[in-house]
Amino acid sequence: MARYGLTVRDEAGGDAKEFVDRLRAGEPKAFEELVVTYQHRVFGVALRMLRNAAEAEEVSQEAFLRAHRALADFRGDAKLSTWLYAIVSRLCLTRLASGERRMARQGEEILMRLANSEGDPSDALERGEVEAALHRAIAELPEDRRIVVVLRDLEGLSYEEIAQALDLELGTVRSRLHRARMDLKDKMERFLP
Amino acid sequence: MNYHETRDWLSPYLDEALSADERARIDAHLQDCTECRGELDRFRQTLTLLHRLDPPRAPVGFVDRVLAQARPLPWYRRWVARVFLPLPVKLPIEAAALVVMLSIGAVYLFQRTPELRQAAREETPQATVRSETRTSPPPASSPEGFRARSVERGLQAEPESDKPKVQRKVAGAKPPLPSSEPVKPSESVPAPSVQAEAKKEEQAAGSVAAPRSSDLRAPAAPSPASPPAQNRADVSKERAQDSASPLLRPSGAAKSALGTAIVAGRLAVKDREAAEQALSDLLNRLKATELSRRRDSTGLVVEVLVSKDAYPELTQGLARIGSWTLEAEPAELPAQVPMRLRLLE
Repeated sequence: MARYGLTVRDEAGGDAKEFVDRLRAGEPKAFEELVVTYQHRVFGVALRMLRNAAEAEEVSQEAFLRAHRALADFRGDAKLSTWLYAIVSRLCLTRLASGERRMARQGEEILMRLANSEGDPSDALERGEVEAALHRAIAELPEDRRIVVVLRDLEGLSYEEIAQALDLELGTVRSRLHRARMDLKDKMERFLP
Repeated sequence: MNYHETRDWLSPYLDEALSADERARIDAHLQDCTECRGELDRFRQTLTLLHRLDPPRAPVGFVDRVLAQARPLPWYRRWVARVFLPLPVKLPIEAAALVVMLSIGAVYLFQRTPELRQAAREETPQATVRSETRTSPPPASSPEGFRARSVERGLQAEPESDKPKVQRKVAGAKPPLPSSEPVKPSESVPAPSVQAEAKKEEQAAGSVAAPRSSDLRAPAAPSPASPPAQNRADVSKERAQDSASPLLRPSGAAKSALGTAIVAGRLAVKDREAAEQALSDLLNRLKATELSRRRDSTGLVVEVLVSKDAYPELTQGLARIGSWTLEAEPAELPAQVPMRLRLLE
């Protein structure tokens, strides 16, 4: 992973120009590096949004394939990561809105399995319970707020990047994020010290 | 800034997404409001919980699956997918189209290939016989009839592809003339096997024309209607000769003389050119009329008309030119004897 990260990103945190040029030239190895570097993040967004691993993988693959087809037209106005987040976010929202989802809500069990069970068993049990509650709280957020929380608090995008990825006004991003956090705080109240 | 306004700004405050002025105003309110400080703490703790969540990991093999899908398919797989997929839809349509195309091709080929049409006709012999009953040539016992037959044979010697045209021409020929000298078929039959074949032909013709049985059983006393029936048999036999092997043609020529006044014979020579010249001289000397001269795969066929008086001298002259074998000769010769000579080397 590290070697790919060094290739994809330059020291300032932006995309390495040489790497972007290789991608735009259609070099297969460059595309492989892109997938290896961003696979977990793209899949993470899809899983948080769709709450189903199979659907999340399907949408993540589609996101990379669309990126592959559009790489020649990538102008570099946004970071590669923002561009990929934009693609997968829109695919998830489209799928959620279309009602074509094949599987029922099994997401809570899947998300609960993500809880880390390492360390002291009692701590793990308590931590697992907290994380399960948190996953459930995230899953119960409205989709337009959930995507903002996922991109901001789980993926670490800035307000500006979220606005760019979701094609929203900055104020809209701020208000949706605030309301989403308020909902999460209220639902997690009993776990707070 | 009051309590409610401050709560709306706590989220960007924690993210340090406010301007210095906005941040200073909230800081000032938080110093005086314990409720807002408690709310800020709970916000911060909630975000801490969120940040502690382990990020999901893509399943094993995810990269390979993406790369496999992104890799362009070979041209033949793309072609197969475009042509045959989805199978339940395209396969029946393509099968039906193939059947239609093959049918059209078969019809086109049949119409363009005379051999196939000829084979189809031969599968329906009765229909052929019916058409021949309408196209009976004139009796060969008369010189006109013999000339007509010669013309017909000349046409039949043309390539196979022209046969349908020949049949049409024959169909348009003049109706048969009544024979003034009916010939006894039994007297002109050179061999029993040939006679049997002639009977078969006549029976085939009889399925349509229904000749009297006495015509077949008592040839010694033919009725006036028997010559046309015999000619029908001749036409059938000679057409069969044309489609038969060349090796069978000499005997076929002999068979063609059955029931007619034609004298047929085979002249075997060593030097064909010299024999042809000698034959021409002989015919000139005897004042015989040469009706036709044509070459086929077996040799030269010459058809002549010679007077009854000159006929013995002609046969003697032929015996001097080469080995003359008489294949057919009517018992009673007409005044003008039609002859068919086949020169073999």
